[in-house]
Amino acid sequence: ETLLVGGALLVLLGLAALLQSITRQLRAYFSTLARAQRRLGFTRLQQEQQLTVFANKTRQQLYFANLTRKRLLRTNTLKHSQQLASSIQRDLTALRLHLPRPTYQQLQKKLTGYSRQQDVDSLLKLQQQLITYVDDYDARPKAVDNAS
Amino acid sequence: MMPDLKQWITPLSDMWYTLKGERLKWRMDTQVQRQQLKQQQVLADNALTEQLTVRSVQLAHELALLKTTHATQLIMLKTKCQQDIKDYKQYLAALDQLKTAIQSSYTQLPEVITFTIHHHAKQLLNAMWEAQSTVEKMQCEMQLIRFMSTIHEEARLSVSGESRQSLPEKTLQLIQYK
Repeated sequence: ETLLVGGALLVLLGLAALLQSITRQLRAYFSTLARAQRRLGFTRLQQEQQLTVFANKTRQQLYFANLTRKRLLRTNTLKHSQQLASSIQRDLTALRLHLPRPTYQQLQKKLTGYSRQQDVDSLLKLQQQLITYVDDYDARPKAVDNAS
Repeated sequence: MMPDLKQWITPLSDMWYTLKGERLKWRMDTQVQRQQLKQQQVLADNALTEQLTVRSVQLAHELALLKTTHATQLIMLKTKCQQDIKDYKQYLAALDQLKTAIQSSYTQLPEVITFTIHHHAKQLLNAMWEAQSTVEKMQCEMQLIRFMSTIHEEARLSVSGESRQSLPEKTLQLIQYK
């Protein structure tokens, strides 16, 4: 019984100490000083967040502007590459009977590929290549005439 | 059992009252010092709280200013980006008109040359737009302006009959030596 009473007393003392500690902590947490410190910390955090938000919004605006510009460029390149491809197709069709079949098919395949990729540099090189075939073809009848 | 319990409780209670008495004596002896300490603590806390509040108000004011400045800068940036897009559209339209002008000025000019000139002008335009530094941007802009003015000049001379050249030679030289 003595032990029980002693044990109970100890437990009660422990609980009282715990309650006292909790009360002290709560009073410190809700004190004016602690509230002022928290308000200052919160304002500092808001300032840092504002800087981050601004940097991100700037990056976003520049990204969308660049995207719009690239879309305009793509549309323009598509228009001109289609015009160029049509011009090359006309020249190739005119040379069809005068070119060996494998050469014609190879050139046609290149034209389709470059046109799909909107590769204007390659289309220009292809057109220049066709001009050399046209020059070769133009030179041939004159050589035949000269020979005869 | 009761005498055993009394044997334990009595010394304990005597000890308890002795401790309490000593504590009361100590509290009475140090009452003035403890009051001074408490006052100083309260004053220090109040001073610090005041400093923190003032700093907090300053920061809040700075934050409001920062928000306003950032909002203004974002609006200006948006306007600048919209203007840049408009300028870019106009540049592309100008290059399309340039192609048409070359085709109408040099009627016998092979299409490959027209397309090459147009393609080169577009490359110069994109190089100018994508330049990282202001110096690089200005150099590309000067190149583009020189190129376009050369083409327009040669086209004008060809149309007016002042030039007998069948090709825009100076323009082609600029492309060759880019």
